Amino acid sequence: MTGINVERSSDASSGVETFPTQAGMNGPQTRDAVLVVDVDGAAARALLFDMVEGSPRFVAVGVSRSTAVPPLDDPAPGIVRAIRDLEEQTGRALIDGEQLITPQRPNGDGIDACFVTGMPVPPLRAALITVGQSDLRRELASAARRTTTILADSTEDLPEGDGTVSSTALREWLALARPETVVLLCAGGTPDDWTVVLDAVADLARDGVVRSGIVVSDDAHQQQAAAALGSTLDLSGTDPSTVDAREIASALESELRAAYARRVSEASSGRLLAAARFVDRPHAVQSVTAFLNRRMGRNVLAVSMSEGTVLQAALEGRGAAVHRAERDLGSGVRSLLAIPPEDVLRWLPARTSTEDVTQWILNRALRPFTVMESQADRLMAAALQRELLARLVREAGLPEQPDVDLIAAGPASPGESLMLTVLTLLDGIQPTPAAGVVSVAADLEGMMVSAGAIAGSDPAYARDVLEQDFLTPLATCIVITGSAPEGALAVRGELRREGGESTRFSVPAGSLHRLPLPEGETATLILEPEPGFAVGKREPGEVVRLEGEQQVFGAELGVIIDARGRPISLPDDREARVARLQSWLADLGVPAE
Amino acid sequence: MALQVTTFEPVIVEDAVFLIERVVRTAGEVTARVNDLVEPETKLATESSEAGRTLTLHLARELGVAPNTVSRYLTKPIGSAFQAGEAVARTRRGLRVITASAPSAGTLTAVDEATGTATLAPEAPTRELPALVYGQVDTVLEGRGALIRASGARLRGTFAVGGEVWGPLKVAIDRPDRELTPDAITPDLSGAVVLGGMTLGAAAMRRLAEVSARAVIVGSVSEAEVRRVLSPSEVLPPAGVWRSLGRGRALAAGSERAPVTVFVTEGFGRWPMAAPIFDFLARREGQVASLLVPRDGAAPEAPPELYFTVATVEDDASIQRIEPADGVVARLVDPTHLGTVVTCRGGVLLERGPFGAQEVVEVEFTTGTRRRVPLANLELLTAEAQSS
Repeated sequence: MTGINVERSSDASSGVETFPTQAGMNGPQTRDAVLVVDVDGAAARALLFDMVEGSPRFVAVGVSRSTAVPPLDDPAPGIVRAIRDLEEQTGRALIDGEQLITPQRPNGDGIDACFVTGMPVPPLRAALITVGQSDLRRELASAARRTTTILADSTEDLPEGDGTVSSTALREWLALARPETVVLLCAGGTPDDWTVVLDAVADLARDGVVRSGIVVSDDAHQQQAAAALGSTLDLSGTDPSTVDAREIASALESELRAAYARRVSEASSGRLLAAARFVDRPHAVQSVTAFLNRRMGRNVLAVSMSEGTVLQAALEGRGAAVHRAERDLGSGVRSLLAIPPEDVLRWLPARTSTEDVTQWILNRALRPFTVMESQADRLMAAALQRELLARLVREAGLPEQPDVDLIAAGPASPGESLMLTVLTLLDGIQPTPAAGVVSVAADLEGMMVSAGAIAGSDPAYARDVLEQDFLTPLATCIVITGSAPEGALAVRGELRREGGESTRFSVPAGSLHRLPLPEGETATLILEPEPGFAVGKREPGEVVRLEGEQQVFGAELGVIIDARGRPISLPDDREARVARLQSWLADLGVPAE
Repeated sequence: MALQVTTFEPVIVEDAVFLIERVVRTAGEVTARVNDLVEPETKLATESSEAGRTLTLHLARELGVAPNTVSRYLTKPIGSAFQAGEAVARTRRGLRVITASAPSAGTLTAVDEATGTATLAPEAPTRELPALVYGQVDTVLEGRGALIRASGARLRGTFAVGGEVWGPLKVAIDRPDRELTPDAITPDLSGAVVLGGMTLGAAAMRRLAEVSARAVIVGSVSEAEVRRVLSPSEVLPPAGVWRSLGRGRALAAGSERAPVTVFVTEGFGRWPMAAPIFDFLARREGQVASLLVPRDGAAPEAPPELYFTVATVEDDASIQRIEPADGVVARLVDPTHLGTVVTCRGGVLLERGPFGAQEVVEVEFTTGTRRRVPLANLELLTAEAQSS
C-alpha cells in the first residue's frame, strides 16, 4: 500500500491540469484573445474574451446542445458547434481544420489561450464507508464534495441500527452506488465491522466496478485492508493518528481533483483542445467567489446550476463550498427524489400532490433537456431548487439564514423567469445580512466559471473581466426580520430617487414588496420598522437611512422589501399555504399558474 | 447559436432493416453463427453469471448474537435454497424481530461458528439469451451475443418495467385515451402482448399476470401503481424504487419483481397514448411484438424498443432519419405537455432571446392553433408527412 500524498501538489490543489500538449507547445499563456469552453452534459458554451481599449473584455458566447452525453458521448462535436456559433457572431475565424487558430492573427482571427472547464466527462463515483464514529468523516465527505465526484456516504445513507455494520445493507448500498473509488475510514467499531466492510468491497472489486481504495486507519487495519483488497485494488493509506484531519481531507480533495483532471485529459483525444488547460468547475467558482469577497469586501454566495450544482461562499474571509455533481434539474434530476416530496410540495402554489412531484421528476428524468415552457414547470423546478439550495447551504456548513450580502447565480437558461429566480434564491438560501441589504445578481452568460478558469493562470486578466462584464444586477433586497400576526405592518419607508422622485411604501408582515429602480440609477432608501421588526440584524425598531455611500443601486427588477421574517415560515394548512405562496408571487408580479 | 441541421430517427420507424444487439450481461457461451436465420425463441447464447462465487454472510453481527450460537437462529438448514431478500436467520430482540437476509438467491452451504458467519453459494442459473426477433445473425459478438439483422417496424418507448418478452399483439381497448381496467382483461390475452390504451393500475397489472399475458403497452402509468406492484407487502418510498445515486442507469425498474412487462410510450402519470402510436400498434394486431428492455447498467437514455419483425430479411432498407418540416407529425415532451400530438409547420428556426439562442419549430395543434416550440421539446413521431 502506498501512502496517500498529504502534501498537496500545486497542480492538483489548484484544480488546474494541462491537456496533453502537442510537441513543442507549452501550456497556454493568456495574452489578448482568450477562449473558454465550458462544457457539460447539458450544453457546450464557448466564451470569447479580448482586449478592448487596453482592457480584457467579454466579447460573445456561442452555445450548442451538448454531445457529451449518449448517443454521441463525445463532447467535441458540441464544442465545435459552439465555437462555430461564436465565429458567426463575431465574424472571426477561430478554427482552422481540426485545430484552434493560435496565436491570434493581426486580422483578429484566432486566440492566444484556451481553457476548458465544466464537466466534459462524467464525474467520478466514490463511496465513503465509515466504521465507528469520527469527525474526520464529515471532513472527508466535504472534501470529496468540493470536487467533481458523486460521493455516496454510508453514514448518511445506511440506517444507523444498533451501530454495527449490516453486511446485507452495505452490499445493497454499494451495488447501487457503484463506486470506482472507495474511501474506508476506520474510526472504531469492532474487528468484525472492518471485516464486513472489506468483504463487501472485495466482492465489488471482483466485479471490476471499484478500482482504487483509500484507507484511513491505523497501521493494523491498513494491513488488513491490504491483505483483503491489495490484489484487486490500487490502494493507498494514511494513519489519522499521525496526520492532521484537515491535511488528510485536503489530500483526498487533491487526489480526487487530479483523478478527474486525468479523466478529462484521457478523454480528450482530438487535436482541437490539445493545448487547452482544464480547470474544474468547483475550483473556478471558488476563485471568483474569493475574488468578489476580497475585492468588494462583501459576504458572497455563488451558485452555479448547470449539470450538477456548485454552491460556494466566502463569508468574512472564510470559505465554504459544496459541489453535488449529481444534483440538478437535467440528467441528475432523479437524485432529487432523495428530497422528501412533502418538502417540495410546500413551495408549490397549487393544489398538487406528492405523487405529482415524484412523477414530474421522473418525467424530467426521461427527457432531461427539455425547455421549461410552462409556468407550471417553472414553478415545480423552482420548488425543487429551493429545497436543493437549502440542503446545500447546510452541507456547506453555513448557518441557516447565512449573513450574505451578495448572491451571484447562473448561468441563465432559455425560458427562465428572472423574478422567479430571485424568489427561489431568497427562499432557498434565506439570506439574512447583518445590514439588511443583499444584492442578487445573475451571471447570465456563464462568465463566473469562465473567469474562474482564467484566474489560475492570469489573475489580472480575470479580475478585469469580472469587474467590467460579469454580473447583471437583478434585485436589491431588503431583509426585514421579526414577526407579527399576518397583515400587521412590518415596515414603512420611502425611496428617493436621485432625480427627486419619491415613493412612500408600507409593507405588511409576511409579504414582499417591489419598488422599481432601473439598473444604473441609485436612490436613498429610508426604512422605519415597526416595533418588533428590524432591518437585517440591526436593533428592532431602528430607523435606517441607506444614503450616501450606502445608497441602494438599481437593478433589472428593482428593490424588493422582504418582510417575511426569518426563517421564512409557511402555514401548515394546505389552503392557507397555497394562498400565501400565491400572494408572494403576486407581490413580485410572477404568474402563479 | 449556429443553426444545426440535425436529423432524428422518428419514434415510429416502418419498413426498415435494423441491427439489433442481443447480448448477455456477463461473459457466456455464444451458440449463434453468422448468417443463421433466427426466430424469437432461437437461443443465441447462455450465461452463468454467478458460477464459482460465494458470499459470506455475517449472521452473528447482523443478529447481534454470539458467533457460536448462529446455527440455532437459521430459518432453514444448511443446504437449503434461499430467494434474494429471504431471511436466512432470525432472532427477536425485545419487541423487534431482527433478520439477516440473503443478498441474492442461492444455497446456504456452510456455517462457521467460530466467526459467526455463513456461506451462501449464489444460484448459478443458466440463462439463455433468445433472439426475441425474426432475422439473421449479422455479427457474432464473442462471449457476449450477436447482432441480428431484422426487417420490419420499430416503436421507441420511454421506459419499461419488467423483462424482455415477445408474443402476438392483441388489442384490449379501442381508444388511446381509455384506461385498461381489470374487467377488460380476459383469459384470451394469455401469452399476448396487450395494447392497453392510456394507462392501467396495479390491479390490472396483477390481473394480466393471472391470465398469463406477457406484456402490456400503455401511454402512461402512475409511479405509485408501479411501486404497489413491485412491493406488494410494503409501501416503498419513491426514492427507494426510482432513485439510483447517480447517472448511468436506465429507468427500468425491478424486472424480476414485475408480474408483467409494462411498456410505456409517453411517461409517468395519466397521459393518453399518442394517437399515431396507438394506430400504428392497432394496425398490427396479431403480429409478433418483441419488447426489448434496457438492461440494468445501460445508459439512462437507452429507451425500451418494440419491434415487429418478419422472417424475410431485406437486403437494405436503412432507417430514414428526418428533420422537422412542414407536415411532419410530432409530439411535445416537456412535462406539462407530455404526449400532445402536433404537426410541424416548417423547419428549424433560430430564435435569439435574452439568455441566448434556441432552436424552435412552428407547430400546429389539433385545435388549429399554431405556435413556436423549442426543438428540445419535440419528438418526431413518424416520417409520414401530413399536408397543411
